[in-house]
Amino acid sequence: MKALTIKALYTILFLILVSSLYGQGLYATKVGVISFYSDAPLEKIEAKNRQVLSIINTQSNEVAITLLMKSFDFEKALMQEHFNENYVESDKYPKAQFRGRILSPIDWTIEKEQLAEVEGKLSIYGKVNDVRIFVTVLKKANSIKTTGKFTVALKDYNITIPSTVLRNIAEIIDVSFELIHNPYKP
Amino acid sequence: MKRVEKTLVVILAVISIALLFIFFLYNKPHESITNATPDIYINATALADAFSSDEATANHKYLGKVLEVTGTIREVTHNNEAIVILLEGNRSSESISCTIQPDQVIQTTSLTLGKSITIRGICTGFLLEVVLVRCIIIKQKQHESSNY
Repeated sequence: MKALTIKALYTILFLILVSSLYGQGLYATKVGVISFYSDAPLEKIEAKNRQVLSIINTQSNEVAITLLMKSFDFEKALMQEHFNENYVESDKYPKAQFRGRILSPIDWTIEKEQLAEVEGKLSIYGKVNDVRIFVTVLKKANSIKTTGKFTVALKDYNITIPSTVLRNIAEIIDVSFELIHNPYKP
Repeated sequence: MKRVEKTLVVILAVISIALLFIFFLYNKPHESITNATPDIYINATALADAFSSDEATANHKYLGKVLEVTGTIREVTHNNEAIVILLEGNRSSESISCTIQPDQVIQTTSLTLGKSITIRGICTGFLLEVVLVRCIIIKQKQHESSNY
């Protein structure tokens, strides 16, 4: 009887330790910034999303990023309307998502910039593609900042631009991100 | 001769009007939240519940709409990009996240946690919280009591 109680006690302590370690492994932000830029002959278009959700698990090196398409802020209201209503149909596909893992070994204890390769699945407009992105990681005492740039080819995600505005919108969009994560207790 | 001139003038006028129209449409400003009539008035708790229980239906109802939400302030955070006010939902895990427009900064300095506030903004969806953007503060209650 006594042995069982002690075993149970150790199990509970172990579980608390593991879950608190797990808890310490998670970093998140709800106000990450992702911008995209379209450089076409007739027009330069820029949009910024300031409500990006990003979670990093420093135990498993997994990352998950989700954003709301309607949160993209354009300078021109008309372009924002076209983007939401015609190009990405955000009523139908309200979110874009990335789920992946950091391939490179990251030392989460040093406070220096590290370059990492991240591999995963990017989902936009209902279409999922495998992608590999380079990310600059900067760990500080209580934060992890990830920054980087990559490109998205609209046709890879079935996003079609009408021929009348082809010279206004690039077929390959430049995306950049800056996500500053803090420790996260779910 | 006169007839040809007249037709030319009319054609030019039509083209000019069309060009002006396109110019103003292209440069039209974003909908003013201050001047907008809210599509829906709702409590923060009801809004949080709607998204927690059935996100698809809530999206259909609230996505892209101008909402005027009344709730209790759970948290106010500032970062480089914006000021965000979190309103309480029914559970500690549920909140409404309201990103405040930059020109509203003066009003936010008087915010107190736990007090009631009414915020108007556009709903862009649900991540870990319901997200409202381009928000303005409509009203802050000075007293917690609602007996009068």
